[in-house]
Amino acid sequence: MKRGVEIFRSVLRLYFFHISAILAVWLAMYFPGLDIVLALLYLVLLWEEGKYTYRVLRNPKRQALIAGIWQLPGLILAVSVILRLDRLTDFAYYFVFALELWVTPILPLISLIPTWIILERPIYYFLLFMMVPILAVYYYLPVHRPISANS
Amino acid sequence: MERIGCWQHLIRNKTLRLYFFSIVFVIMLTWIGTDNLKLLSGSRQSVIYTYADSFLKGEIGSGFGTASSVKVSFAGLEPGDIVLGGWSNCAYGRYSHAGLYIGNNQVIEGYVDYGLSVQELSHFLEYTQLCLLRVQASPEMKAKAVNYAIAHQGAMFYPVAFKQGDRYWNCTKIIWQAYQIQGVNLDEIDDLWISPESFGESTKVEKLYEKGS
Repeated sequence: MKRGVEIFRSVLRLYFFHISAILAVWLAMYFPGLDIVLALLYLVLLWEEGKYTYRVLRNPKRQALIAGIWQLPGLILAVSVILRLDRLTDFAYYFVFALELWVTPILPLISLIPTWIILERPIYYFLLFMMVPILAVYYYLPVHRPISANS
Repeated sequence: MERIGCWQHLIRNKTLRLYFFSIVFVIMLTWIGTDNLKLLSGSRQSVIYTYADSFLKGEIGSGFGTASSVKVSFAGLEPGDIVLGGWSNCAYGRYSHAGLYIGNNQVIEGYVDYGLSVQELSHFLEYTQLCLLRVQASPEMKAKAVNYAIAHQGAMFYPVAFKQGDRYWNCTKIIWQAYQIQGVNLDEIDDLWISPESFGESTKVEKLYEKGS
């Protein structure tokens, strides 16, 4: 029961952290350059969040579960677009819109990549899909680091 | 040393880490709001006002509709002209989309999945609302505006891109910026974002054709 509460709390923390980062990074685009600083900070703080969760749970499987639940909205959107399930709805175009908004915290870093076009699509479009699993794995990775005594 | 301590405190403190982005968000919202007070106090053409007004009527997003069957000739269009398209129930104005005509029946426009890209002009025929605009500028300026837009093919589309910066674009920002650097400002109310409608309301354009109500 206590483990379940810890998992639920970690997932809620991640959602709050991620959604507030979406809003902050979006507004930071008003000040070109600040968005990049915040995107880098997002990665630093997310890594620490991964370390913190592992210190609390000490269980790689549970940490993987949290990462999966956290990125579930992005995963559903990405899979829907890839499998064209979005076209079964009247608002297909909003799926890829929503996916881009979901990865807003790291969009400033993607925006630094040259505007190459592959298969008639800009490279950033493919990265939107790739960022969902990459973020989940990035959050999970600290489980492979030893926990320091004073942390 | 003190700076390093402050930095480490932010990273290590779980509460500070959790609320960091929400604090930054509130600070920036206040800053941007203060910077654009004129838009919040009665500028009825602003995107924020239009969107809020539509939202209260239950309208969200770019609207929808059945493809129009009305035939429109694009024969008189010149490179540098602006094409606006829209569906009914668009939350941010009468028109939801804009493209810059580059000649040869092609427009440069923005989509999430294609970025800024060259597309066929003919798809604008599907919109129930259509407007063709001619910018009052010299042919040289128009040619430069077209070249500027074409040079940005593949650039990132972001639906709520601010006018500042050159890494995020949407269908209207690229047109506004292409003309802005030629000295023609098509956003006369100095909005945070540019709605397609603001091009139609600009005193620097001539309306060539209009379809829909």
